[in-house]
Amino acid sequence: MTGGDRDFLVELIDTFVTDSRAILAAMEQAAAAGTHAELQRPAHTLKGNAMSFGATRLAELSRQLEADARSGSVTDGPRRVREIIDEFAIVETALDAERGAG
Amino acid sequence: MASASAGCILVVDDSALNRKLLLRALEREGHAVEQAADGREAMERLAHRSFDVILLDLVMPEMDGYQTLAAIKADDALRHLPVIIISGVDELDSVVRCIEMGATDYLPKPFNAAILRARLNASLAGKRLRDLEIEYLEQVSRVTDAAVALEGDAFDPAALAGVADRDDALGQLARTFSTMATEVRAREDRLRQQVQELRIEIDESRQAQKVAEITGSDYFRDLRGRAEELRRLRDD
Repeated sequence: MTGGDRDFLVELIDTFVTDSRAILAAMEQAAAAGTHAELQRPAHTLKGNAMSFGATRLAELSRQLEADARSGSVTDGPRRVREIIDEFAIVETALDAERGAG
Repeated sequence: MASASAGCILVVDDSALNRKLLLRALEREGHAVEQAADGREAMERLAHRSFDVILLDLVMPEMDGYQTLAAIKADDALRHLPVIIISGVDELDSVVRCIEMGATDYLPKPFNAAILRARLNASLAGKRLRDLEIEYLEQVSRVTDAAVALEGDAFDPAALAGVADRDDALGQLARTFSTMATEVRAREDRLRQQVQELRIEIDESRQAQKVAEITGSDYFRDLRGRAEELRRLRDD
């Protein structure tokens, strides 16, 4: 993905983490407010970003939530978002280790 | 490293991560790249600068990819610009819809550098072909305009300067047309000059004839006789 450029990798990790936190905050807010349609776009972006880092479980959870938000079938929004936040924490820990490994 | 096929690319994606990845990959191929975070920003950039290819994400805030694609295709100045849709593998229905709307191709996310290069180069080649076609048609139009100007006696050879530089059949036509039009004009100028000279000769001949008519008349001879008589009286 970065062609061996360590500085660029760290820049990408920082961008991913910063953007993901903002996305997750927006998702938490939408889920708490019950405005589930508003989960679709942030879930979509998080899915794409997670795939770029090979975070497949985070991507899959986001994909499922995006699909349900699109079809209007989200019934347990706060729990679904919590599940994604927990998975992101695992990814973030792994990325922190990668960042520190340089 | 800049390549012969380098172009000016607009990346439209609300994901900063995706924009950074695409920017890096495209700049490594020698392309000039600008980025926009949504469709509205993309349309603003398109209004101020010309691009060769647009890489367009679909799900974005403000103005999404569908709306952006529709706006591009509705604009005469932009509708021929190749648009490559950036999409996830689970969005093939969306890709089909976009291709029906006029998108050129699609790039699956997360993108592969080789696929990006291949699809971009194909779109750039198509864009360059289209640019050449537009330039050709514009130059054909200049030759036909020159023919109209020639009929109205307002032809200026400088109007075909760029066309005559071409090394194809159109360039040959423009050169021949320009040479012949210049020769015809020179011939007309010479004829006008000759006609003017003939008119002067005719006028002079007519005047001489009138003088001869007057000097040969009885009245003139009588006047001349009187003048001589008056001169003799004065001298005596």
